[in-house]
Amino acid sequence: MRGGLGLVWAAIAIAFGLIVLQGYFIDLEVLRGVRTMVLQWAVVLAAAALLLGVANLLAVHLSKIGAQEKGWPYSAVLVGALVVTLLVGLFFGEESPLVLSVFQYIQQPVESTLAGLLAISLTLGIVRLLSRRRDMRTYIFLITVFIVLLGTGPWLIASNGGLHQLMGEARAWLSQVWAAGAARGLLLGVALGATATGLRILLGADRPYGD
Amino acid sequence: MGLRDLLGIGILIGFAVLLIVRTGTERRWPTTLRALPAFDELRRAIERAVEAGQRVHLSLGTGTLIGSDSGPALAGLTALAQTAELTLESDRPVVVSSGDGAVAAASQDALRGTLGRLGASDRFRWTRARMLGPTPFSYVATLPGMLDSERVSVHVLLGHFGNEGALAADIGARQRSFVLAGTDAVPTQALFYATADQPLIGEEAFAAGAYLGAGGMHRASLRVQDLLRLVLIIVIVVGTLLSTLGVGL
Amino acid sequence: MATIRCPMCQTENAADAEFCRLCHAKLPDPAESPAPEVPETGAAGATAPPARGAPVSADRGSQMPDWLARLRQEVTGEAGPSESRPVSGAGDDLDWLGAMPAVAGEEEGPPPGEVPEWLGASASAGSSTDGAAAGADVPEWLAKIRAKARGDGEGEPAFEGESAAEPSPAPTPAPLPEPEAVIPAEPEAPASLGLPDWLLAARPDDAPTVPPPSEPERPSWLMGVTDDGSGELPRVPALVFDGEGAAPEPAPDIDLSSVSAQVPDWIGEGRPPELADRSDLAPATLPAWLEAMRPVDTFRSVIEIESAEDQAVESAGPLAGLRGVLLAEPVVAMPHAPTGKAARLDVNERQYAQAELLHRLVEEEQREVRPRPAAKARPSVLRWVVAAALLVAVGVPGILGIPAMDLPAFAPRDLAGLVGVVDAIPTDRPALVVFDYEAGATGEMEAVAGPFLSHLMERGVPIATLSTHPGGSVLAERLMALQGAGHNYVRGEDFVHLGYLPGGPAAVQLFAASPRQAVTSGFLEEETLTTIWDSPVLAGVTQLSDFTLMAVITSGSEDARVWIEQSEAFLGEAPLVTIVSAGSEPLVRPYYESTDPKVNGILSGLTSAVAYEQRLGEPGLAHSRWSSYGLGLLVVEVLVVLGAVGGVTTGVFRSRRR
Repeated sequence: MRGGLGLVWAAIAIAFGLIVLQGYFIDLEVLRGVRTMVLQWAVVLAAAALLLGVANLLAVHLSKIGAQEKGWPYSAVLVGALVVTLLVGLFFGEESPLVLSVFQYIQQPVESTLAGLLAISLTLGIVRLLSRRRDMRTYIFLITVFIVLLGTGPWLIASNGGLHQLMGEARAWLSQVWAAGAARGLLLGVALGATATGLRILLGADRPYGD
Repeated sequence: MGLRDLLGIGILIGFAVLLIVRTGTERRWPTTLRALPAFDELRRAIERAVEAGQRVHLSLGTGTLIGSDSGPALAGLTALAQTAELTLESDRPVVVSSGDGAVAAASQDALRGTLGRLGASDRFRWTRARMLGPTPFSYVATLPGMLDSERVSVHVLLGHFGNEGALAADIGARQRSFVLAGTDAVPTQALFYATADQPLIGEEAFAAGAYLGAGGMHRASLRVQDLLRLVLIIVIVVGTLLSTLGVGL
Repeated sequence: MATIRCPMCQTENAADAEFCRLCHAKLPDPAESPAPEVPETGAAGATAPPARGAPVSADRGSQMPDWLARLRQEVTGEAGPSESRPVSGAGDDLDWLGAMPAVAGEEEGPPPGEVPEWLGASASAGSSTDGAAAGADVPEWLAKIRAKARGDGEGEPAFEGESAAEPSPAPTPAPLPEPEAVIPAEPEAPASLGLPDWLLAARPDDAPTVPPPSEPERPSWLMGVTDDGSGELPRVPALVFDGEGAAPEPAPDIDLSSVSAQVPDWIGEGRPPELADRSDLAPATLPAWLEAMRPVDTFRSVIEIESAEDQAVESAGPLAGLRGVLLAEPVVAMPHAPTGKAARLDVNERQYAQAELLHRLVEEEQREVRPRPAAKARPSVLRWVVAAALLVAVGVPGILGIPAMDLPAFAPRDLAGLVGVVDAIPTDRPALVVFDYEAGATGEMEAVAGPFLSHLMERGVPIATLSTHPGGSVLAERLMALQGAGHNYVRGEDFVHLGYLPGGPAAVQLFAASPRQAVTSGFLEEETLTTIWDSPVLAGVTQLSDFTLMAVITSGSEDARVWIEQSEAFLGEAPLVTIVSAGSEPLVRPYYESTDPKVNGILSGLTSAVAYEQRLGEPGLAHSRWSSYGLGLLVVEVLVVLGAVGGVTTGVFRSRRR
């Protein structure tokens, strides 16, 4: 029975995958309608999955609080903030100035701060890179970083001089020729890999949806 | 249906046929994989973690399951199955996190299915697959707490990451964990090069299943991808030459 | 009678004997051993001693040592060995003793290695050859030989000092041999037994008669031993006295004074002739086996052999029930308390330290180990240094306004194209602006997108915002409020929010194909409206191509690609512009620079934004962040260089240390 159920899920996944896929190549009214309906179901399911994820998040942190595990005060703060925001949004509406203020004065600064931390972490990572990994790729990486940085922003002196302009051109050449070309190649490879992954699911070889 | 549509269908069908054929011949002519130090180091790190009673954490990224960023998440789900098998005997089995609800649900399903297939259904805990945050930076914000409380020593990032991926890798490095990171976003791959112990460049993230022993079709996929890549290179070179010579297509 | 010499102990055995009578070694087959060459009697030259184990021919002349042959020659007048051969003295070349042929019918001859006492002690004995020595002891074996020879009809050479009255104390007997089978006499044995006449003549008249061969066969050296019924074995004095037991009896002197003159003086007198008398004689050497058995007069160990009845019976082990075996228990198996000295180990310092280490290791294994708390991540000093440097570099210009970086003097090439696109669009239809960036990217994106929105507002173009991110609409409201404040833009009249579009690329494709189906309600829409599409801002918009312009503001290249690729087929004549972060530009620019461009305008990075603000003449966020941006970049450059130098230096030192 278990094996049979797995085949049913696989058949459903393959069928819906083929329906959506053909919509990119075959433009028929009937098929377009089916595809649109399936896509709408997918959108609804994604939103429902977001709710599931939030429920999972809540349950994990509640269990952590209950077991008094390490870091449970932070879990308590998280659960409290979640509940408060949910209640405010339910009572006052998601477009109320209160909710917008929560986003504007709490979430947005916190995320901006994390982005600032990203700058520090990246800088530190580059500073330590040669100590951790000493090969030709790393040397090329560092030289490229240096040239691009020099050609991106202003200088303390002679900011609009010939050398600064030259560095700007070098930076544009590096980023728009070498980096863009390499990125295109990587993207082609990524596209092939993603296609293979999708095909394995459509052929039933990979079943990430479980049994 | 235009020429481009027909070409697209033809490429897909050809890809599928090559995949099936190569999978069938995989036993007779097995695919030889080039050495990827990242996966060798990962295996060794997982073995060390199992012996030391520490945990392996697998992050499936902040992408969704219904977008173009679902590819690496699906590759991550395959790696999850293999990692769960490797850590089955550990006191601290693998824990998986993601920044999307649908990916979290899929990871729970994959983990339960893997443990059931290995005869260890009783070891499944639904809290082992969790969503840390609905947005990328909120996901990263809760990562340090999770890595610290779960005593993670192997930190694997295999999914869709934006700029926040660099922060996630750096958090793992600060925890003195072994960090392996791979994604489909090219700018993030550059960030991983600077912050992770073992970065995966290009499509190496999609090869995780083959290198972790997921099966013959995964290895066959790599061979077919190599073949198609060669075709693409030839087409690009020929097209460039023709374009240079003024021959319009 | 042919005899065979034992290869092990040189004892003469009967030719047909299989085992040696003394040491029980397996005797070689007489047929296999070649008979030695027997030289003719009187042949000159030395004859080699008989081969080991080879039967000794009854014809003694073939194996006779030279000196004996000489003696014989002197006595009998027969040809003997050369004169040059030295006369054997006592202790010299006595091989003939071992080569003595076995007497047919009975065991005769001295035990191997035994030196007759009358030969060994003759050096110190008096040189009397008179009959006073007739009363001296004569070895029994010799007496028997003589008697036999006399009984066979040959004259016996006078031999003084021969007496069989008292049997000379025989040497310590070897373990009693098994009763030997009667050695059959060889019929062809000569009557004289091959003995020289002088030997035969040495038998005294009163010598006891040699018992006939028919008597029980016993070794000749045991002949004098009588069984008096006491059960005691004859005492055999040991060759070497070890100081224990009774002192050995002195060897009886043999008085050879009664030996006839036919006997060489040295035999009759019992002492070898003076070496000075025979100056032509070279001193002989004793064979090693004989030398080893030379009796030492000073001490002799006496070994008492218990009778069979007195011998203990072994009661344990595989030899249980046997007599005369070494008892195991008293010697081997009897448990005994170890002496104190034997039980004490002699341990040195190193061994003691090692034992102590092993003891500690075992103890530690048995002790429970408390789980160690996980190592806390130590804050890195370098991290704090980098953070401080960046904070100072970014904060100081922003707060103090110094240093003031020079504004870019040249605008990027792409800016002109973008400005031209915006200047050319009609203003009667709304522009669709997509806000697809996260809250964390507001620092850069608001600065870059600000002048673009300001340009649109300056031209009076209505704006509809949309986002595929949950927080995108809120960010759109924030930026629109910020920019709209300077242009009197009012929500609901000049701009609306279409809200959040969930579903990723699928939703984008859906919206591109049918905007009114994809979005039914907006964000912060007026309550009077039934649907957002009823807003006056969106009047006349039914499909994507009805928008005057489509702009995608995103920090990630993926979002830009999705919008570009999904909306391309539905945009029609409406231009598409992208406002992206500096990091996404390389991946988006190909859409702008291709032969068939999908993107009509591109704006990326703070540099372009500052130039845009300069063109508009409205310094905004980009201007305010320019100096912090420049100084921060310079600090990062310095840190990268220092890090690279430090990494190289560390590597060099590490390799040198190795």
